[in-house]
Amino acid sequence: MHGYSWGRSVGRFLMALLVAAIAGTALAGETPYFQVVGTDAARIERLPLLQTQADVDIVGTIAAVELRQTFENRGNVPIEAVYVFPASLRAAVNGLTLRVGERVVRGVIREKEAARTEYGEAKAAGRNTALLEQHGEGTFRMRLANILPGDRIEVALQYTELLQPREGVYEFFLPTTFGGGDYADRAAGQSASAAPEVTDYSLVLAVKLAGPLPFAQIESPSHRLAVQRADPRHATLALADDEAKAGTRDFVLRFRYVGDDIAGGLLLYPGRDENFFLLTLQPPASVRPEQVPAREYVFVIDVSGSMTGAPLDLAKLVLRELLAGMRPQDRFNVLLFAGGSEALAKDASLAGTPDNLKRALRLIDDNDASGSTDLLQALQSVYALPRSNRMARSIVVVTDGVIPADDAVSRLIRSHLHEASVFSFGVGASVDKGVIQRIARAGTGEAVMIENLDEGKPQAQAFRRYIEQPLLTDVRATFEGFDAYDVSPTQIPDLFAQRPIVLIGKYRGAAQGQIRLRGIGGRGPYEAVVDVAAGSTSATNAPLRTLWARSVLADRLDLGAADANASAPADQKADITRLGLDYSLLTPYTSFVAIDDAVRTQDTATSVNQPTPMRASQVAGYAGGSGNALLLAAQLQPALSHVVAATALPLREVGGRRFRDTGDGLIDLAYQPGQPLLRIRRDSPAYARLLELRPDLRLWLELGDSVLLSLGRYAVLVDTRGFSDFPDRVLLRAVASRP
Amino acid sequence: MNARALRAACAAAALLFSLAAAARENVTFLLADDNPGHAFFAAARDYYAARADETGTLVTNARSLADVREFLQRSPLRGATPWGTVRLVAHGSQWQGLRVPVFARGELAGVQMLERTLAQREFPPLDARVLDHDSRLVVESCGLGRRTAWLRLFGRLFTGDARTPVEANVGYVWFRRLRDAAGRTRTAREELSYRAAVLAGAVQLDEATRAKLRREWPSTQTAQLQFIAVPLRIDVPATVLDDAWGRPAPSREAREALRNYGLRWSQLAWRTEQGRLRGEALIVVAAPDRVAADLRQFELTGAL
Repeated sequence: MHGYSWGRSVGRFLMALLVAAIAGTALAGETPYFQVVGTDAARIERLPLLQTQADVDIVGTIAAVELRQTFENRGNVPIEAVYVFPASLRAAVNGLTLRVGERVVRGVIREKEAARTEYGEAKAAGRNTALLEQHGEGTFRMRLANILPGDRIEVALQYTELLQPREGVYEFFLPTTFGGGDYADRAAGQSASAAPEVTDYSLVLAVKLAGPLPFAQIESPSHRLAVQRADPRHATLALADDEAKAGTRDFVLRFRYVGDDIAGGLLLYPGRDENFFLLTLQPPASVRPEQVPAREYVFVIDVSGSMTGAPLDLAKLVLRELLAGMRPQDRFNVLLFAGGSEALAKDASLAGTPDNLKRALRLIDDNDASGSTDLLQALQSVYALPRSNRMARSIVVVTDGVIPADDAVSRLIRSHLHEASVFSFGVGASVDKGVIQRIARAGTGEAVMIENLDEGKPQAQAFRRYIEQPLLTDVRATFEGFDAYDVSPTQIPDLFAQRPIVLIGKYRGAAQGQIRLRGIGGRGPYEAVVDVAAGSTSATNAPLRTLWARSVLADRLDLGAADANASAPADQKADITRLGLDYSLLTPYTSFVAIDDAVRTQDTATSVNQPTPMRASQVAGYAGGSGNALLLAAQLQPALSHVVAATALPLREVGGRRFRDTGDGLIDLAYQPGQPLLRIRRDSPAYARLLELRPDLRLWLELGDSVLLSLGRYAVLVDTRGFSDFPDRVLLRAVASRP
Repeated sequence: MNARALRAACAAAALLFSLAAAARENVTFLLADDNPGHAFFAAARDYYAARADETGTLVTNARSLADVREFLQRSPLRGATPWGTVRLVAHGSQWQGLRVPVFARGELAGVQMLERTLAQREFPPLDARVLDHDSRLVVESCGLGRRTAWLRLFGRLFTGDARTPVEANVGYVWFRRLRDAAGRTRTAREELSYRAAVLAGAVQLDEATRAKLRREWPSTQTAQLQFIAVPLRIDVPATVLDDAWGRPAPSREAREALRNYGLRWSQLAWRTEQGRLRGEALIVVAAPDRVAADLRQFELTGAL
């Protein structure tokens, strides 16, 4: 024994430090389409969408996507096309390339008006030119001029996106279809079509996955996949050969690492002019009740006229479900809003007793559910309610979304982010998803859609499971000896057990010093320290530059004039424009424009309308959430076990048993830690005896060099390091019970 | 058979037995590698390699008790007789147990892990053809001779019963490479006796504690005393309410932790805080550094 060994290890009976938080992935559910503008319909063939190809390269938490849509002009006249496509709300679009025949045109970033001017001039001159603009939130528009008959057009859009796990599950979402009717309205008269000539175009997927940890599961609930794995940390995916009409469904890919770990840690990218970092910290995998700080829920329930009937019933169901998980130390309050607002308790929140729940429900029932809505005033009332610093406050907005939730609401939520996270529940069939998502994004919470009473309860339960586990509140980051600046988010939201804290920012000088995160946890003050020098520096971290700009863009759009140094709208516009130009980022005020040198036509472009593939009905259920990453994760367990077995190689199914391939060996999914485990050497009398007792086990035990198989109460691990002998009575006992 | 013949037969049997015992093979396991900057195992390897009779077969690639067990079971070097002295060299302490995993890459061989492994019958005991009453299991590690409970479990792990005696050091074991004035190197093994104190609630070693421990040594040795202080903290769920006097009462988890470390409840200062039961103590060890004295006396220098 050495003295130094004592000092390192005695007394480390329990450690409980883990941290972090951050924002959620938001998904868009809208579809690309071409609108071909022209005048002589008789001579123009509709522009067929030949193929969509997505090259997706996911390294750790960063997805780099090149989305290539190939169209062909088989008409007789030149055309101008308008291309509208959706992307994740977190996508940072930073590149556009057009290929028309042999010509390749790369887009450059410009101020929006300047880009339009350049595009118009090039179009009038008969050049191939393209203009990519932000069309709406999570929706972009590309105009493409002077496409000649016979031209084949390939539009390649490049974007990056940060994937953030829920319950250890990562999800990549690629919208390819036209979904909801609300979108049709926004898309200026464009409609979806389920006609074969529209939906039979091919969808090609090439996904490369590289993880810092072995993948435990890879699956797609939307498509059948062919998965190839070179090793446990890498995989390439493509659609299975028998996947039909793949383009009629948005693509969803989910994966997780062994042990439900996340790709956390500190990534560094020292650039030429600026340096960037990304910190991802994960809370403990399992949360003990004593680790959860006292919670306060403030329900802000819309009781305006549009909520009458089913929406209000859903709101009460949500309230009832969420209150079911309250502990004695937790508190809640209810504030109803329409034209005005009314609180259940004005002075202090209430304990979740049955009597108080009845009072809350009575308050809702007694309201006449009429009038218009004023969410801004309601939220102002909420923030004015007394609040304890030691309680994690969550505001849950329940509404049908038919409310004016403008920038002022987002700014108000953002400016109080250190006080409360805000979650939004969209209830009813006509919910405005954009409003729900905007509220949640500003509050760094989650957006949940419930369209009918049948799905209300499970979704409310999943939501409760999510928000009832705030691990840390009052989270703050300090940088010691590390010259960090422009860090996003500017205010760190409460840490929930099912999501990590993510900080992205710049730094000056050397990557040294420490990042210290402090917060209040269930066991009192909490602190975690990250050694900056131990961060991972790699050229593959280059997307951090664009991701930082995208994150700051979201901050500025949401925060806006709520800053104490209130920026005027013009200043905010200039600020965002500068951000877009400096970082080649598509924003509401900057656009990509591409102009080819060659003059190709003197004719005026004519038009047709390109219909869009309609989303297949069988996936409307999950896609209807359009942003319900939370609920997708909550529902993942049964989906994973069902789908992965059929499609992904990380799991193998043999003879009715399913095995996880860890790279080091196969583990029977029926095995539970704590089962007595008999380690048996493969080339040994014990192994021979085992097979003599149970010849049927050979089928599984010889699947690989190392196989762990559950036998019921016992399990056996057969490999090269096990024991060569076991008492016969032990082996007999082990094989006696079958699973 | 008369008495004389009986005595002769007994003598012959004893002779045969002693010859058989002498023919037994010994085996010595070095169960870890040195951390950078240290040479404990390197010195131990040199030490045992230079003493072939005592050492027997020197095994340096076993890294778990399961590896040891499998070598003992399978190695033909044992011959037709059970093993003689089976020596395991590893870091450890009377509180932690042996700092060697029971199974490769698994949990270390503390009391709780040994108990669990035995209860689940995951470690098949060796039969008397491999280890018998005349075999010896020697644990060359610090202070484990003071944990009789651990020794019992360790013996049961390998034999299923207590037939093979288990020995362990009660002192602080040290292997060193030394160089004399002429530049010759040799290795030394020392077992330093030590005194330990567990100070409830203490956070650092103060002079009063040093003085108290010095008083337990002869005055001739106090000048050589070296002190090591290691903070100990047990932090477990508090599932039991405070006792009638408002003092924290031990929860099941606390009792298990104490048993694992071989400590008593009263040796730690306890408090409850937000559903947690926290016990703190400082383990202080005092031992005379006789090696340092030898170095001075024999004009040796520490080497390598």
